[in-house]
Amino acid sequence: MQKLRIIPYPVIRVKNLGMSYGDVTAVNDVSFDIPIGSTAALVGPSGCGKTTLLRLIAGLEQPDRGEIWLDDRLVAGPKYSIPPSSRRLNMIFQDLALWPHMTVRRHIAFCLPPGKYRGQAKNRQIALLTRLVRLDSIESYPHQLSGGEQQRLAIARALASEPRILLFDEPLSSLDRALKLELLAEIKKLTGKLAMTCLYVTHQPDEVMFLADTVFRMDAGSLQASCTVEEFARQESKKWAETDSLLRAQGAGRKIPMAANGR
Amino acid sequence: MTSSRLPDMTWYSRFSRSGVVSLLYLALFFLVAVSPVLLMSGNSFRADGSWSTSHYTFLTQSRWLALFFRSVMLSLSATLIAGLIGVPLAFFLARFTFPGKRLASFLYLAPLFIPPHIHTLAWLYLYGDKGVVNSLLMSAGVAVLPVFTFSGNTGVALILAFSYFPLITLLTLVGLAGIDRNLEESAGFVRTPWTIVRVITLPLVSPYIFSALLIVFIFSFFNYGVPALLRVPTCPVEIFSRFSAFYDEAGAAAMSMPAVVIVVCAFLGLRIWSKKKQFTMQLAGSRTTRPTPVTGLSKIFLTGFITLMLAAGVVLPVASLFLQAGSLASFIMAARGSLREFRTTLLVSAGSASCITLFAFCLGRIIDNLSGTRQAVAEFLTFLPFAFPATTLGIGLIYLWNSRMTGFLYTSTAMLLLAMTARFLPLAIHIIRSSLKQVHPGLLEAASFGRTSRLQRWLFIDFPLARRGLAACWILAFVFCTGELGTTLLVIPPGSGTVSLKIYNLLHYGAGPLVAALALLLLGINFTVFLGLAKIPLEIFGRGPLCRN
Repeated sequence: MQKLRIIPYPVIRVKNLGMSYGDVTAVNDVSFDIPIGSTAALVGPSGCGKTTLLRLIAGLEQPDRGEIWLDDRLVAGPKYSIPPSSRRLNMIFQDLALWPHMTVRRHIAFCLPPGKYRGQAKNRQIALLTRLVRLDSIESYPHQLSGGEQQRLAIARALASEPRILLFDEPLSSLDRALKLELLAEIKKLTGKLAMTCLYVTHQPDEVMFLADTVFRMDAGSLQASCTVEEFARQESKKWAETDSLLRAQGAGRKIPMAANGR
Repeated sequence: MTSSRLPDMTWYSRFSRSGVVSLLYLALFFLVAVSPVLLMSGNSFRADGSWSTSHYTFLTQSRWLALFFRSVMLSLSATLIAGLIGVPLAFFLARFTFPGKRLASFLYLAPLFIPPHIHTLAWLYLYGDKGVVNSLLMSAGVAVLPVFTFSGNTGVALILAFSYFPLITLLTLVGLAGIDRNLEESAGFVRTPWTIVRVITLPLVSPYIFSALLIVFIFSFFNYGVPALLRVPTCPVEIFSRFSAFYDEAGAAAMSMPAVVIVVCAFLGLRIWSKKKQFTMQLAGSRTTRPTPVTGLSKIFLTGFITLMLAAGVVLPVASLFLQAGSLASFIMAARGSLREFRTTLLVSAGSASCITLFAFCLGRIIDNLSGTRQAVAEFLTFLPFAFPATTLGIGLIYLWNSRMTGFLYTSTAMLLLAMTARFLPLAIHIIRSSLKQVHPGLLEAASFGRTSRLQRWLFIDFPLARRGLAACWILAFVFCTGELGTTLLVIPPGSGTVSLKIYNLLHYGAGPLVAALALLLLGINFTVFLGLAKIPLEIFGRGPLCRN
């Protein structure tokens, strides 16, 4: 008897995507699929086009070539693009982009689906979201929040719109390690609970290993490789070992402690 | 508890060198701009050598109350109309791309380059009782009597609104350029563009809009030329006639006090309100929202609005002036007969604009370095001269400088330079401080670690970073100086004259073609200076993060 194999349904599908800023090619012939409910990480050196790719999927830029499909629906092509508000996705920016004139409550209320929650239901939903991300100071403005609370607000705001896809543009890059790990655990728990499909841009190996199921490597605007997180971990370990032996060979004579090299 | 003892110090050793320099700058500002208005305020409470409120009896007169009410209503209407034109125009220019955008983005400034009293001339020529439009309608038999009676309150409000709306557009554009695009883009995932404008963009840019509205209100309230030409009695007209016809300086100063109180209250209200709204604005190098192309109905609406506004505010008045000038002979005659006036105007305006910009930059930095009450007091004092009508400032300057010791200054062209500086310095400080806010403080702090002097830091770090603000300030100061009338009328030295003053005098003799030609020549000079100077800061200091746009 033939075994039935379940192929996960791709929520994000990118086909031969390309985009240039004038003479500079930011994204070049990129194709990949991200299955439903999984988290993919996009890694690569600074300026390799990761953020541009994320902005293309978000609908903040329009591609010159190729197509973007979300939920089996064509959302962007060279001559066609539907606005971000119609894509059922949300994004957490690197600088968080919290609105300085709005309180925590107003941030979340503004992002709730228009017309879906009214009166008490709206208040309940705001309370639920703030509890979910463990935010206490609901009437505070962003500048009155700590770094970690600001991150939590950015997450709550993104979740408020009930997206099916969540995009992360290096949101934890400015945090210390302890806080970063705490927030990574929360993000993993929340996205798992809400069965969200995520695309996470970073160049920190520890974030990739903590969150991702699949890893895409980018360089100079092109997708170099895709692998599982286990393979990625092996590659990173190998890289560290190479660096370590290079340092020894050059007489630097300093062994990199295991805890610090990301393994 | 141990008490810490300060080492023995002389009183002056507690001041740093930069503190002393700052105090000197503030003292100079006080002498040039604040002391004339304070002197007049004091004089308004003195009669026959003793303190008295006798100059304030006008407050109980119904005629004066009506005059004051009219002035307030006229300037409020002008401000409202200017806001309704200026704010949408700024949004359209900053956030959308449409055919002819490049032309529109410098053409909208043209009304600023023509003094408001010349706008009056252009509008009267078009829509006055005997204007082109009425004459055409009557000669075609459409109407027997003039259809447009462009005079009175409506005329004053409309002319002032169309003269000053570019200021609102300009300051709103500065505010819009300071909003990081991520703030708007993050709202784009959940709401439509119009909701984003209403809920995100407008609140963020509102401090800029309201300060622009306040500036336009002050300019409209204290405008002398437009109501005088349209024969509408307003406070500045009354103040001027009180001084020039009755030589009642103290009475004239007293009459300006109620207006000063209103303006100061508005300023304090705005300051308290905006203190709560000190949002983190974009710093040099971060990204602004990219304009989106418009299509379909939006394109028709947008291009229609911009065309209509620019036609009414720029094309028609300029075309009207060309029609009035008639032939090339008028221009030649105007240029030949006013060479001295043009020379004085250019020298005084360029000199004043340079003094104003440099002084405003130094004072802006000094005020930004202060904190708490000191900053609030410095802000108030630098704003105060702007809250007085130009006429009162002029009288104050006469009082202060027309003495035996300073007579040499009073009778020279330098007096004009001093008057212009006193008049427009507060506005320049405001503009410069708005632009300095967008320079990252870390960039200056980074320079302070090297072995560089303060002057080097200013020349090589501060000036290049603030060059756009400095250039904008210089251009605006130059343009306002070329069109200044209220103070110039009073302090002009004998035998001297400016183009604006000559136009005003010629208007009373009915020399239409000559006046129009002079106005167009002045417009040409202002535009040439604007186009030339808009490039210079980039050439001198090179292209940097502030030149992205």
